[in-house]
Amino acid sequence: NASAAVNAFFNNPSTAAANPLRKSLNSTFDKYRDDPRNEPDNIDVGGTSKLLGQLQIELDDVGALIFSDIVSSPSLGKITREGFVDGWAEVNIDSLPKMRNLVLQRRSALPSDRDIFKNVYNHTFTLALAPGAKTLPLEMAVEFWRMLFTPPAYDWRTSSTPWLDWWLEFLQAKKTKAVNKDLWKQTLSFAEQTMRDDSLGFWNEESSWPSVIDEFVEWIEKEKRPGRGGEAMEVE
Amino acid sequence: MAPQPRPDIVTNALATMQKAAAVPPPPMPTSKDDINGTWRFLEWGVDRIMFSLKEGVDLRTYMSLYTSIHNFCTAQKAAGPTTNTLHSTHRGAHLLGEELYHRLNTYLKQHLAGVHAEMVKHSDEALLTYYIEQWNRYTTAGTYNNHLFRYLNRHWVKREMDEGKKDIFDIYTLHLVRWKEDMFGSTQNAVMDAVLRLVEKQRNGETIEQSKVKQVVDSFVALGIDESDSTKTNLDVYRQYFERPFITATGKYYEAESKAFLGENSVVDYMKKAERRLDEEKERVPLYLLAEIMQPLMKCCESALIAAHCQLMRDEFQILLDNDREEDMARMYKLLSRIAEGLDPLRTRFEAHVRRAGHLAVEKVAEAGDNLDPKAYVDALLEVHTQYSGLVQTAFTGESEFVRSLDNACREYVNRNKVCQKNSARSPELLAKHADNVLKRSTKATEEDDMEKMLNQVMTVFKYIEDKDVFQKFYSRTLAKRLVNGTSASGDAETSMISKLKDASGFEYTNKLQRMFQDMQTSKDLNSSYDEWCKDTFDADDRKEGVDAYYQILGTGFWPLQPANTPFVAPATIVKTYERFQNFYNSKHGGRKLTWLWHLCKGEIRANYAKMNKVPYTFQVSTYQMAILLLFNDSDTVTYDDIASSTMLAKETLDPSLGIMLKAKVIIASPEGAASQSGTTYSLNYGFKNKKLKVNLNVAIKAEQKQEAEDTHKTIEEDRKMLMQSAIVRIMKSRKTMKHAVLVGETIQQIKNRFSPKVADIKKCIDILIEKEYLERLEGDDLGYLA
Repeated sequence: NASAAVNAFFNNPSTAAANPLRKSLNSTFDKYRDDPRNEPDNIDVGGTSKLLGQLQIELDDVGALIFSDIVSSPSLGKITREGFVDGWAEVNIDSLPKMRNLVLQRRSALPSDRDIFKNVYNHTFTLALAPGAKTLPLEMAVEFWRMLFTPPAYDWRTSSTPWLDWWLEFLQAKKTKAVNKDLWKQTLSFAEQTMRDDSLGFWNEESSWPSVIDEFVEWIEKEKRPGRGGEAMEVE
Repeated sequence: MAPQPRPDIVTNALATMQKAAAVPPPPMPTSKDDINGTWRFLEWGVDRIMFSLKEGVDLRTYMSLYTSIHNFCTAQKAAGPTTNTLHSTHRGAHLLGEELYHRLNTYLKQHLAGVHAEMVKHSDEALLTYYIEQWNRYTTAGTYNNHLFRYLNRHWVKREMDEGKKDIFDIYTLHLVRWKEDMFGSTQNAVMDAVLRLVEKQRNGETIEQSKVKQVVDSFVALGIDESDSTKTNLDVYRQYFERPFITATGKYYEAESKAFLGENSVVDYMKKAERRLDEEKERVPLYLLAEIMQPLMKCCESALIAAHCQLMRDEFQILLDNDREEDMARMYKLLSRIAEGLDPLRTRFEAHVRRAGHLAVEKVAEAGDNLDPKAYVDALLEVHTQYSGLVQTAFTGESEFVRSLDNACREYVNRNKVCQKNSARSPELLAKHADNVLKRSTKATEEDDMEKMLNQVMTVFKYIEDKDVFQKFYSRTLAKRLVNGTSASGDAETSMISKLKDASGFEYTNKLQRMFQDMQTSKDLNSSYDEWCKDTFDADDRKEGVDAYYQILGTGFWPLQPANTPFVAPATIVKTYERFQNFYNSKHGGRKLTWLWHLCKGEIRANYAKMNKVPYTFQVSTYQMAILLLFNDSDTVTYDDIASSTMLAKETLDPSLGIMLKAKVIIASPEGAASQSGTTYSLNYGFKNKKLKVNLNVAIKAEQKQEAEDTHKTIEEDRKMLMQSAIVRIMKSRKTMKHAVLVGETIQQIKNRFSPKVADIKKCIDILIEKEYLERLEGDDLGYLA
């Protein structure tokens, strides 16, 4: 009886520990802790890479981001007990092979399942943020965009336009220093729109894009597609 | 009781009864119901009325005629059986009345057949003459007959009509119906042709008998019998048979005429002609046409005379504009204003023309580049505006749409011309500088009226300035200078200007400016109470030690003044004086911090070592120069390094300050002509000579001025960002959530009377506010306010 179990958990956490699934997840968690004495409820970089190694997930693969999303890592390489146990309990998984399976399953769904990708994408920003920071240094953002916007993840390119390359080239040219949360999130919306309409027909100056994206569009019209934008000619 | 004829008819009959009748009347019918006898008697009377009305009928004969109708109509009632019901009596009267009615109807038909036969022999004016003559005779007779047959009208005809018979009319209307059916149908064409030829003659300049047309019109109107109710009339007949052909002919006439005229004459002459023609047609209506024709007639003339040639006129408009042909433009305006959308193309051309003129005027003065004289620039802007606002008033009757076109054009060339190509803030900057020059005391005094006029001119341009915030910045800086330096030409003019700005842009716009005036007044009061305080606190010797000084206390938030960008150690003499004041001030206003703006202070210094006719020279100097010169009290020669170290002045300030004094030969550099640098020594020039006793050494430093202008521009950018952000927050605070595009639109609305914000700039501000978590993105294009 699931609802009875949930109620029991909230009413009395000690019985929840008795839940065999959670119990096994807790003991798995305990195995990878870096410093059980001082940080009994945390796995740090060392433990995380060990765990991912066991799961055969490369650290620089998007699979690592999917894993971090499932266990709600607060920052790169960090896992909390709460995030780990809740995250896996929610999908009813407690064995390493099943964990690996779920990550692989989601990995192959990234290009097609918007919700899965969006969750991983948005969580990546939080994950990558340095403690106390509100923005991501550009180099960091670029690394993660590369990971997220190329296969096997979401391939941000169309037959005529290497969107990701343009986007990164533009940010370098503009000497952008940092990326804030709004720009990070809006970049995904923008990417999705460009995949649907490569000609940027959805864009206009009045629409609500962050100004960096507006400037990107202007930059494209000037640098990449000169002569295509009829409007710019008419102004004079 | 026997019915009585109307008295006025009797009078008329009496008046003419002296004349003997040509044909003696037949005998009165003996039997009341004898229709033949009755009609024979009546026909004689009707004939007389028709043909020899002037000869009259004596009263007795008239009475007999009337009585015979009465008798005939009542015959059966008198002879009928007493058992007759009311109904059968009624029918009887009907039958007998009907006979008389039809006899008269037949009589009229025969009469008109004769008239018609005669009429076709005539044409043109003769036809009109004949038509009118016959019409008048016939309708006059109709009136008389109507009275004569009154008994029939009142009883038999009334009943027939009451019963809804549409083909029975009262006797007068019967006359009209017969005319309409037996005459009108077959003759109106010829009559109308004759009328139209007559009118055409008049249009061609001949004199015509207008009354003929007028009578034809009246006859057509009279024939307009309402088919559903014959007692009423309408204008159907007139509209169809007179108005329509009249309008068609008019249109044709003017189409042909205008085409021919334009073939041989200029558009300007044509417009005069068209104007005259329109007036003529308008005058024609009251002379002999029905007032109702005015509207269709004017419309027809306007279409043929104006609309058909409006393209030609519009093309001519540019030429008229180029040659300042005010009167012709006024005429064109009047003509084209009469047709729908006639003026729109003129307004467009006018706007473009004014814009061009404005750009040209600016280009002429723009050659001066950075040295552009503000007055020359403002004069160039004004000249074009004055010329064309004058034209709008005189030629275009000050029409609001033309005013708008003028305003559009002016806004365009005032804000986007060659001078502001690189920097759109140049226009307001130059205008503010010009205003400063106007308000500043100069060598030649300005009359009060002239001053007011010049200020109004500034306001004329101000109205068009989009970057009103830039003007405000520069104006407040120059105003601050005028006030601090006491260089205003007139306090009244200053106040007047402030109130003009306030009227134009609101209280908030001038708030700080007004506070500056207040500070000046407060300072004045403060100085007098300080003097009092000094008298009370120090004895005379003590007071002498200080320097005579006047203090201005300026509120930091209201004055656009920055602390000097050089350190400075004030000379000891001054320190003593200002510390005394500071004590006084702190005792009055504890907790306030006084910052000395040394770069704005000045003073006078007397050179006891150099005299003209035993009177020492006085130098007007800046505080910095004062500090430098005071060093010479201790030593006749001072080194550059000494000056630098004791005043602490930065090189950028020190060097120009020395430079002016060197140039004026107050001090002499050694070695001669040495640059301002370490190693150079300066000595006091004991042989100083000047034409004036008072020598002004406090000359503004060029580099400083330029720096100031740059700083001003920089603060403008910052201020604008703040203004946009606070507008966005203000709007979002009240709306909580809002569509992105709507927010941008409202922000522009709120700000545009200060400057014209770019959409991209507003979006940047929105980005900043999202990052600062004042706003958040919601679903769709919505933004939310985070309290």
